[in-house]
Amino acid sequence: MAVEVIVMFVILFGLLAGGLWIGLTLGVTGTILLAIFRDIPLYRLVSQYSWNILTTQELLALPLFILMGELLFRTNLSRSLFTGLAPWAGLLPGRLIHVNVIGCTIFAAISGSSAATTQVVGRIALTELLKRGYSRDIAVGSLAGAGTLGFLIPPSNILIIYGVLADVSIIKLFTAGLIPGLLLAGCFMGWVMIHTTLRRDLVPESERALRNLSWGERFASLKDLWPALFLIACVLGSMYGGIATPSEAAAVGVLGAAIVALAQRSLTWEAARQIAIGSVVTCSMIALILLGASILGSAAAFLGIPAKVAAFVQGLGLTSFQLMLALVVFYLVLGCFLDGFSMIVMTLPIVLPIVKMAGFDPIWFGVFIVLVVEMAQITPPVGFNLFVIQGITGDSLSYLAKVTLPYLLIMIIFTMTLVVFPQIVMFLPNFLAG
Amino acid sequence: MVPHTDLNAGAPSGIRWFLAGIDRLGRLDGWVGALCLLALTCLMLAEVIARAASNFFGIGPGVVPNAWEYSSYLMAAAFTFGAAMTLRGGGHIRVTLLVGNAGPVFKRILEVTSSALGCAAMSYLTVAMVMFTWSSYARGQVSISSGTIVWPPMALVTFGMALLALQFLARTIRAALDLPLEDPSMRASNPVE
Amino acid sequence: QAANWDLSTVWPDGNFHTINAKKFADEVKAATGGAVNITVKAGGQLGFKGPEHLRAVRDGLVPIADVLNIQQIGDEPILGAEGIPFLVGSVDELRIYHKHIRPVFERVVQNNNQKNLYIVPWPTQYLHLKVKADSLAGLAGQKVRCPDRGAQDMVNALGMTGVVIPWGETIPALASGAVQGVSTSAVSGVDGKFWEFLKYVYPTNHVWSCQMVNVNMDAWNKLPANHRASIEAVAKKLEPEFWATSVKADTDSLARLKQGGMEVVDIPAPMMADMRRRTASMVQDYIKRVPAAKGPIEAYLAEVKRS
Ligand code: NA
Ligand code: NA
Repeated sequence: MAVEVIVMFVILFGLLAGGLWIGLTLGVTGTILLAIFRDIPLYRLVSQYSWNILTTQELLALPLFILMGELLFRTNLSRSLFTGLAPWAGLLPGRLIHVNVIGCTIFAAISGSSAATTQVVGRIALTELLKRGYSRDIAVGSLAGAGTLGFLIPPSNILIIYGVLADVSIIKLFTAGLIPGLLLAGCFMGWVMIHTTLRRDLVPESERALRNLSWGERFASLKDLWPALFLIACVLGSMYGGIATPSEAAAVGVLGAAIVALAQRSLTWEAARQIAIGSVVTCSMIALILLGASILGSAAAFLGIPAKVAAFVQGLGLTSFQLMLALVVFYLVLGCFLDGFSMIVMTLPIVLPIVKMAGFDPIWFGVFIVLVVEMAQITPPVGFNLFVIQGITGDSLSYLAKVTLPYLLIMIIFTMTLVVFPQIVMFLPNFLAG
Repeated sequence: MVPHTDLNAGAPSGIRWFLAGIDRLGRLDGWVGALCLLALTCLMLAEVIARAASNFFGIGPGVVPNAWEYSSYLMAAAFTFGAAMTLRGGGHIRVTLLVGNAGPVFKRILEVTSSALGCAAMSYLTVAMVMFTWSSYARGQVSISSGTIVWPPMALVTFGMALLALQFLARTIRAALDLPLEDPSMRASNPVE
Repeated sequence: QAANWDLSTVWPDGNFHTINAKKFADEVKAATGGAVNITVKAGGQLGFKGPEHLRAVRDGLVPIADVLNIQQIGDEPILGAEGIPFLVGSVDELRIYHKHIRPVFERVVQNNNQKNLYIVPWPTQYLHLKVKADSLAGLAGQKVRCPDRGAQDMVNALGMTGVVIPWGETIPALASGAVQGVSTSAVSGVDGKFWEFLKYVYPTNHVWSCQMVNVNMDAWNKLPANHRASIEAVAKKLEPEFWATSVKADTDSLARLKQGGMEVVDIPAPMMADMRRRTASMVQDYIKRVPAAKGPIEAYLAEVKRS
């Protein structure tokens, strides 16, 4: 392979391993590459790139969704999701374990973040499930698995970033994620039912009593879901009701979250301080990585690296199924060590051209990317959902990874199913586009 | 609020003041970043409300002039302004596999070199941004979507980057002196993604 | 020794400007015996956005680029001279206008350390709307998406409300009815599948713009004289063909919009006159802001007998 590619990987991995921050690693690698192989006034280039990426209007929804997530984290949404869903989940084999999955699915429709989903749902649900005597393995594992839905079910921070980097319509990506998201949630619930039916001891016998609740009680409990439904209405309602564009809808979501927080009287000064710091820190963290990624991506394009790698991969003569299987393995390995954002921004300039050449739609590939990022959330040693659960339960990472494994396998199988049946992803965006 | 101990206590007094000053700047900066976030939320909301009022009730101008453009400047400011505080809180992501498992001496070497490299990279970018902003100012460059002069937001972003470079410098010094590198009080209390 | 130039453009591979640029690259390669190799890097992959291409070529960040002139007004206001509402009403008028304005463009470009090789216009601009009206009163208050302030001022002057939002937000905003129209070419209308949301195309021909393929002077001067001459010859030969592709792109796209169910409105003469009247002052405003445009605009107006 070309000398540029080798130099790029050497610098990249050298700096990463040395502990340089990921955003800086990307930017420095790109700058060094251009310094070696091109005669360009670099200081002009990097300043222009930095300004471009930081002011990209398509990114505006991201800080808004982050702010919204921070606000919701301070509300009582966790408890009301649990009390609203529990009477209904009690009808299914596996009982309240399903609160994890359904709660994550609902919260995923509000939040763009996977860790926030895990956190908000898990905070109350996990403690409650363990208190009631459910098996720790399944309570923790199902939460880790279902929490990843935060990225797949729109809105999704990962899809926004992918849309900006791959230059595809974010709204189309959002619609593309919906059906796979719901299907994956269904798969998780299916597994919970099978698992708990096979192993009766996972659910305490006493929980059968949940089936005997009256329908009146069940319907009465639905009122607890109002904050969640109100927020979904804020975001989706303003978007489809002819009031807001998709990015502006995120601002309506922030307003909605603030209203919920105020209504629940949870917006203290101390909370406001935490929200401010939390949002700014998260924004800065992502921005630094995006900045570096845009420098590296452009440098790679200057040097024609994506085309060279693509030509190499094409030379291997893989079928599209083999190519995707190889990519899943590649991202699984990468995902053990990197977070989702870094993974996307580092690989996309090279992987996307290959994938396009193999005949895959970039919208479809956005969903694929989200799925592998979700897998990365639950693989050790670097897996944010695992960290979140660790923060709640104090379990060891290896234990968490072990009990999450079935859900990881489900996601791998699910992803390969999408490779074979891409219409599962493309149906809704194509249908809406006529 | 819990009063926290002085993390720079181990440094010689001159350097200690320098480190404390940078920390204070970073914290202040974070608050400015938060204000930018708040302002951009309000601007976007105002645009939504103006449009809704016009579409459904036929009142008002229907738009907030330049809402999107100015929001993007506020976003850029928010993105860079919190960067120094984020570094101090340990919020920027890195691969810690090697650093985390290294012995104390090797670990210190790694921390010093990576921080110094970070300082060099951010200083380079800051100088580049200063020249970029200056040339925009000197040429009287305006935005095409509203004719607004663009050097003021560029200057804000440049300032945020300069502070990050300074914070990297402080971190290099801390690593060399074996002081605590991260200040948990500048950290978000929940995970980042 | 061969010169390898990356040509930066923000338009994707399938866009006719990009196809033209690739053809230009091929012919340059042939004409210089492989000594000048232009690689078209489409879709903005080199990381430059439209409004900074003039600067990127000027500073040598990229040796050659396809520069959209009206996007450079932040640096050189004169490059927006085709964007004055209703000054130019057809491609034929644009040809006449170019006789007078093009030397000015070329000079400005030269001052920015670059040389213009060829210029190709974008197809004419339409108002794509939800409602049908035979007077401007019938369109009052309609929210119309505009790419920049110039277009917004014009739309506002016509009694509608110009909304400046990113292109990516426009389609969903149209779908939900948050905005009710777009000021753009038929080509972009097809890209956005406008027939799904909008019904009527108003052939207003209100503003124009051109893509200029400019090469950095330092890169240019490094070439031997015979290669420079052959590149200029290629550009001169291809330019009329490229103009034809622009006209064809307009015709094809308009046909596609109609096929999708949109109706091309036959704008009544009084309504058109009203549009011109309401925006008439914008010519003088522009000349006041950009005095260099005065001579060419007056010469053009004299030639089309509208002065
Ligand atoms: Na989501
Ligand atoms: Na992982």
